[in-house]
Amino acid sequence: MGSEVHQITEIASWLFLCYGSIICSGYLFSAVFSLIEIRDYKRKNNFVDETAMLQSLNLPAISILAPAYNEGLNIVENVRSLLTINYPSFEIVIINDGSKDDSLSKLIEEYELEKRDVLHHSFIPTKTIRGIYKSRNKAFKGLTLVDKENGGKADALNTGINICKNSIICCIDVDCILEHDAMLKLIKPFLNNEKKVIASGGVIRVANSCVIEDGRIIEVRLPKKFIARVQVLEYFRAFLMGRMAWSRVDGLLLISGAFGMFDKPTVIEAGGYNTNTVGEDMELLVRMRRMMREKNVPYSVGFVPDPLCWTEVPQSWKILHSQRNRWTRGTAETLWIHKKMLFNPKYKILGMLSTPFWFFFEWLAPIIEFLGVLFFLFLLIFNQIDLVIFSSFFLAVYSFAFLFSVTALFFEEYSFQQYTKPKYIFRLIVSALLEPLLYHPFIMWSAIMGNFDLIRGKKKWGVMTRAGLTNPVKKK
Amino acid sequence: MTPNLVLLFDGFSNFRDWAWILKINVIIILFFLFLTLCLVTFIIGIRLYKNFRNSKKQQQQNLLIDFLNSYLFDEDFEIQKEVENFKQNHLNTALEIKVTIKEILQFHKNLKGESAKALEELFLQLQLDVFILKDLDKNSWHHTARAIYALSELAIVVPVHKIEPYLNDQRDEVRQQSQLYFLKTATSNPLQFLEKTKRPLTTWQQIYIENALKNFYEGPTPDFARWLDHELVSVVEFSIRLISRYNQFENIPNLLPFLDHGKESVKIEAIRSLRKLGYEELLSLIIPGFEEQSVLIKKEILKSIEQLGASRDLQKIKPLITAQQWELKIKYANIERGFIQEESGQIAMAISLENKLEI
Repeated sequence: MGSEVHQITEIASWLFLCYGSIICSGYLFSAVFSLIEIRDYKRKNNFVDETAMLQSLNLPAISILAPAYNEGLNIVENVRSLLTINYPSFEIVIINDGSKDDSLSKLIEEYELEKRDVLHHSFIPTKTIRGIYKSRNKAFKGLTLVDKENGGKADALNTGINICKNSIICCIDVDCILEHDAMLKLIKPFLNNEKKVIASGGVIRVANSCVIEDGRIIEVRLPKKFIARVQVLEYFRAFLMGRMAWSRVDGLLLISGAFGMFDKPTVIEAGGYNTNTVGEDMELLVRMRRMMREKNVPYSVGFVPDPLCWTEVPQSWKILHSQRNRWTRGTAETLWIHKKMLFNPKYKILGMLSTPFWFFFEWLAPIIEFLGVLFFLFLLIFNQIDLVIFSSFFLAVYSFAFLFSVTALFFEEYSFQQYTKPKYIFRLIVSALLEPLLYHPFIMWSAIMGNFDLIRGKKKWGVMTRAGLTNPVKKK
Repeated sequence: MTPNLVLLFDGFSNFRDWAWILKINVIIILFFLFLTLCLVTFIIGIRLYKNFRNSKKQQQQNLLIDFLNSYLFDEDFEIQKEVENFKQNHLNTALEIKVTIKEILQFHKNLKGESAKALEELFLQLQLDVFILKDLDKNSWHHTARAIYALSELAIVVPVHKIEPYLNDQRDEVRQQSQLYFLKTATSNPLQFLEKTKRPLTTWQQIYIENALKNFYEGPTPDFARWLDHELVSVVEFSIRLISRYNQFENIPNLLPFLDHGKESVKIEAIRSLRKLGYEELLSLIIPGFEEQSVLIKKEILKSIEQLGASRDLQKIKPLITAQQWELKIKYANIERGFIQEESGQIAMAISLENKLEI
């Protein structure tokens, strides 16, 4: 018995060690690629101020699609903020996804909307549209409100795609706060490429505790709550390290659902958003890329490292759990739908690098980690724990996690330096020290529960209540 | 305390006797900690450096605002002496030179006429062009692009051979700046550089060129038909578009052959341009071939009927749209509603009903 346990221990230790080493190497490569990409981007943009282009009437028109479900509390202000977007030509399509609150009546009243007979073609099948509204007031002529039966975010976006007029669409969360030149920066990859660009995405930042005025960020502040502050670090890692690196090697699989721009004909050809998954943003991009590859059409996906969009992150453990649970299910569903791509050389970098990475290090990582915890308990029960070895492994992992966060922080300082006060950096370093102990285990558990819910067949989004972005007073 | 723990705290004196995995882990931990410390030092370093740089920048900017305002608007300002003084005392480091160039470019952007000319002269008097030319000759794309940008903004002419090779550079930023250089420094024939262009023009570059043509170039408007037979499709499309933007009605006959062009995007551009020029015979040329066209061209034809035609033109299309082409049928119905406004509601109801029955 003793020797069997010892053998199991030996094999499992080696497996965990190999997995850990591969993950570390992956992160190291992503750091190097990100650094190169950020440096290049800074060089490209340090001498020309392109905001003058916002005066140009030659920029293509954009359709901004914003689904809303029970957003009655802030919907009027959020739409007003969208209407002030700085771009020469755009329409806004708000899709009321069968809200049970007073969102619809508030919008109708505030923006003087009336039902119109608008003929449109349903490129993508959706739930029934109850009415399409336009404003009597010419000041809001770019605004369209679509009222439809509830069908989820993906279905709402598909409705917007069917209704909108322009061939470039921008899908955003209605409560997002955009930088003044966000649209210009996001559309640039579409226009400045010899290949066809099918989508582009930007960096999302955490807006909690920031000073906001008239729908614009006036002062960037670090969230007061630990749970939100750690998510700042997570966003640095995800956007400044992860996606930058994937963008460098043209292996990006995800453009955030909160803010992304797409080529409408390609979206329609791919079949629009998938209503059967909770990870509709990732699934759409993977499907579009897969389709282009299968058709053998040269194409590209753009990524802009500038902070373009600010969003509110969960400030309660319950909502965070629900969000991460959904993200895990979304990832797993997408990987399952596109399992054909995994290790398939036909899909080049997507098949040989991106999908395997997502499979092994995004979806599988929390499971392996959880198994590691179980393995530890197993060893404890059989009195097989060598406390020194265990401590050394624990410290190695902990120091790597801390190093990884500090690297992301370094990238932020090197690139955009949004958190200008020195005390913010200090707080972020402290958060990075605490994260592996206080925050990460919770995220791992949420992911495990996400997989469990997936097996149980849960298809719902889960509660995603936002506290609302308050307006701290700016100190004079 | 277990014997192993004692071993750990025994210090590194008996490191050789440790288990190999322990040795590796300790080395890894130390390595990670070392990297972390380095990065934290870098973060602090970057912070301090950026703060220092920003304060220096601010100082130089404040100095420049006074200097440039006096140079431009103060009649008692002793130009020769003050310029020499500024050169001696405030253009000694690369940062000072860069900030000065940037600030002069910023002033230049906001000024026109005599004041802009005076700034161009000042730039040369301060010998900032020497710095720019050094940048131009550096073997890195971002220095080159930045140098060409400064030259074109201040209309500083350098020998053609210095910029021409960059028209077909690997980096699109360099290509774009060299295109704008030739356009902004031209006194006539601003798009001559297109003849040397071998790489496709991106839409972004086209927008920049068109903006510069409208806002910077002051010479006679070129005849855009000159580039209609260019080897690059993007240049041809761009020329077709410019013909309509500049209302060059005399070029309508030159556009007509493009209605039968083999490439869909060129055909679409030709239809759009002729439509914008209000060419009345366009419909009689495009309606007969409607059935054989792609969906995108069919949509352009319908749009042309909407803008140039009447209900009778639309009627000619009706039998050519098949029952399954819903996108076209709906576009058709929308145009028809515009033509026969009194029947708008009925048309909408009929097509909605047809659509529902089909589903």
